Amino acid sequence: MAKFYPPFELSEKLGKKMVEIDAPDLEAFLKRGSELAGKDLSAESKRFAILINGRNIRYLKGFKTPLGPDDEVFFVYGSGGG
Amino acid sequence: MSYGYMGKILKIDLTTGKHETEDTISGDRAKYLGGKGLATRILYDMTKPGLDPYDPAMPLIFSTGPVTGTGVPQSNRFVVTTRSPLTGAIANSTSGGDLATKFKKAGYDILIVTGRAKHPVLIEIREDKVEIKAAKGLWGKGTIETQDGLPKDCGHAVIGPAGENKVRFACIVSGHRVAGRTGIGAVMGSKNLKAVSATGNKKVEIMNESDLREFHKFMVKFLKDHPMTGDILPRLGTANLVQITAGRNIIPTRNFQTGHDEKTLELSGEEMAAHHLERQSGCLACPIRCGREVKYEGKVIKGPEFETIGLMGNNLGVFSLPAVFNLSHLCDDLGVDSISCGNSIGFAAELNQRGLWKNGVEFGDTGRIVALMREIAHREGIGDDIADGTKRMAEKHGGKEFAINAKGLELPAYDPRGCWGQGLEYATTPRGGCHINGSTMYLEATGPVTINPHSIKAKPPLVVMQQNTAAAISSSIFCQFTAYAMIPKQAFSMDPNGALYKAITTALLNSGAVLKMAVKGHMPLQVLWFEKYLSMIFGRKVTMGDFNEYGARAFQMEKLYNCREGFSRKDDTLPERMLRESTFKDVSTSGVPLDEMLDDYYAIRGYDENGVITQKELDRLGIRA
Repeated sequence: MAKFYPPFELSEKLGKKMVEIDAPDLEAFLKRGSELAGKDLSAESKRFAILINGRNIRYLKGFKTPLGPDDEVFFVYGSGGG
Repeated sequence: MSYGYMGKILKIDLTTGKHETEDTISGDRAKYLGGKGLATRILYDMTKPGLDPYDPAMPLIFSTGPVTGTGVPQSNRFVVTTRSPLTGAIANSTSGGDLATKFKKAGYDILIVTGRAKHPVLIEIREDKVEIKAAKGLWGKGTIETQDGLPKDCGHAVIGPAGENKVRFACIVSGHRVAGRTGIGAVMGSKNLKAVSATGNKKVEIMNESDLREFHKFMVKFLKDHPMTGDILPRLGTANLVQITAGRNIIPTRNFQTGHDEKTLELSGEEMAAHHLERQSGCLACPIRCGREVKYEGKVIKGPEFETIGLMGNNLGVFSLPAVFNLSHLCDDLGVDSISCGNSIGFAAELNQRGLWKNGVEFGDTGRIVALMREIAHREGIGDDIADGTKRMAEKHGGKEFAINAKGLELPAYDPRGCWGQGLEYATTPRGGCHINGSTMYLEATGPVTINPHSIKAKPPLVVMQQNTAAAISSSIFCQFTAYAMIPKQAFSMDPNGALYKAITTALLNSGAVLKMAVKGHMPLQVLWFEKYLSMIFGRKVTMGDFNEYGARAFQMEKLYNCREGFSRKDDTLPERMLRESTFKDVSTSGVPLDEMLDDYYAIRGYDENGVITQKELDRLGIRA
């Protein structure tokens, strides 16, 4: 099961900061996550960078990136400060 | 008349109790602009090599810049410069708060304090009077109570018990803001100086004042319309970074043993805004208002910055925001830098975990950590060792490979194993492990447009460019946060998985040759607000090339100071943990490939292979050795 750390608005809706999703790759993960969240996560991915185990999917295999047990998926937006 | 300057430096000798003034701009000083650059020049000229930071002859320099007191947004800032008791290298730290504008309007650009008072004192500066007064009843007090006991019409810079007891990472506090890094508060304490207060109503002369006021209106609107400065920072504060640094696997966790924890998001800016925020706060004349005021145990207190959340929270295994609020409050009140403090306690906890130093400190033990804070500030028990920072603790107890510092200055809350350019920046920045002397991580990991963080391509010239810009900003002195608005706001709405985004980031990653030319070139245009503001203040055209040159000169002046103190390539490094241990699955190298970037960086910088600045580079920038 891969671990999904959704953006804050979604985690508030789900009542959880982390949700486990069983999927062989990111594409399937987004499909199952969408059912769970009640919104299209593929569309959300146009607003957020998707990171798997800390790495942007641009440097992996994009939406075809395979997912294994304990892999971690984050949706993040650009930010700054410090 | 020199527009933008009051024209006077105030010099106070606490040993004799005497003070005098000298001209701000004399000799070659105009080349250093103000702030950090000019203060480093003055420090270099006033000291001989090897002078101990606690020697009474060591100057403690409070400097403003040409934009301070002009009403320019985010310009109410000062920088404190000296030699660091933590690192032995150049020390400087900037702060907002309430001192800078009032000090300048008292009629001075810079305050230089030397000597050591026989008893604890405070300095009170007004337009017509400079007084050294006994700090009766204030010595031993926290920074909050101390400021409450000082004249209400003044701005202040004060130390807490940590500065008094020469904790090597003691800070200086001004209002709700902190000049946190490099142990400047300990130098202030070594002089028996508890507080500097100032006020005045003199006018900072501006050559094209009406133009500046008009541009000011435009800039306020521009900053408020920008997603970073008008939305994310005001809405979430700097804590907005928790979500992305957790996702990027770069938020320090249990002394940088991993890059995040399952509970990290309990500490997010969104969580704070939704459940704890009372109101936003900000520095004088700042439209961004990134500061937080939060509810804590029936009171409203200052909320923590991202760095404090990262180091005093996540890095210590403390995953409760209220607990972090308390630790943040203690850091400010006791007067310690939360970055170095969080690292030092984290290091102590890992030493304990590994059995190298059985000290009883454990990750996540909030009650013990709270008690330990007071022990550190008063140098009691094991707090006495921790108060010396990670480098000295490692010399005494071992564990050098996971003592997380560069040049002895503890690293901020961006693990460089997930942003290699930031790693190069940490290793090469003269004051040591610091994130605001370039903030390369913004272009690799946290910003809206990021290039591959696990590539060395383009990183050396990018780091040089970022460091020079940051040095120019800190010499002017603007707030570094305005620089976030340099990224066009359209970038924030781009599809990060789309073709345009990919094309831009690929082009940036392949722009090394162009960046190298840009770093050494002298662009004759005005592009950003920094050079436009300076042009209006001075009444002469300041170009982007000029601005970058001011920055390069300020940076190299710091480098020259370090070289004179014996710093070289051996010091431009990172802890073994950052070089050898990976926190990422599937990244081909084990840590930051620093050596692969360092030679290229030195060549661009004009250093020899040993990391020492060359005469040719000094001549290029007109720096006197």
